[in-house]
Amino acid sequence: MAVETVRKPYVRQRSAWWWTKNPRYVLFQFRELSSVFVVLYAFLVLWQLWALRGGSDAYYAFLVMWYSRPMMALNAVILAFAILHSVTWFALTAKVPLFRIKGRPPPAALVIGANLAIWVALSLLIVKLLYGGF
Amino acid sequence: MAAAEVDRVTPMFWGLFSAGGFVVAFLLPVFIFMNSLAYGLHVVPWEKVEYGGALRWIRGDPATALLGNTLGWLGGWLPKLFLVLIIGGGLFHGLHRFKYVLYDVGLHRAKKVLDPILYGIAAAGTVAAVVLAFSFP
Repeated sequence: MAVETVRKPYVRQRSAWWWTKNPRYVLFQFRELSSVFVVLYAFLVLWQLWALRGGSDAYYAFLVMWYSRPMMALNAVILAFAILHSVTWFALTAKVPLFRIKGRPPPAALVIGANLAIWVALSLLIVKLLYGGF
Repeated sequence: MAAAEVDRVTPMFWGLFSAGGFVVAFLLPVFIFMNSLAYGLHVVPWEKVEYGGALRWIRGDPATALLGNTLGWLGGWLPKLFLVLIIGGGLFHGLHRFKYVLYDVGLHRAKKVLDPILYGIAAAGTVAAVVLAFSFP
């Protein structure tokens, strides 16, 4: 008769705050968290469009809320996370070389620098083209 | 496993995640600044953000004026396409990433329920963005 064995797997204990132990993990969690703020902003803009559809009274009510202090603070936080996402995304694209220079992938600093330059140029172009400048 | 069982769905959502990542990285910060903070920081005047100004923006008046006679017709399309790109890209990128955050905290067992809900929200939001943005003249 076979001896019955009892399975006793080892489950490693992990604190919910494991990511605070290393600055790299903190950056990782913040980057992942940026997705929540990007999604939140998408819904805020849908709300804004809905208010704009509702006519001038509805839109003025929306603007009073939109430019209130708590909302300005929230939007500033959303912008900070959006910028964190941009910068980490540019750093990430450097890990996926699309072309080679003399058989070697381009240096990360070059890819990140080029991305930053395109980002700034594109942002200025959008301000000029869509908003007619400041 | 049969060769026919190739997963074609997962790569598609990773593709949308990636495309959305680029759109969000390059276009979102400037939009948040102009749409949410510029007026409060006294960078743009009230006329640009009030009801009439917002309607002129979505109608593409600045772009139409700048592009001139030959490309002016593009002006009306640009703000609407811009909004759809930001909302659709943001939702498909953000909810895909958020899905893995939820997996990481132990919800990977709920994959069958979670995936349709999250991608469903992204698709519905994108459709809403198209309908709302293009409902303006």
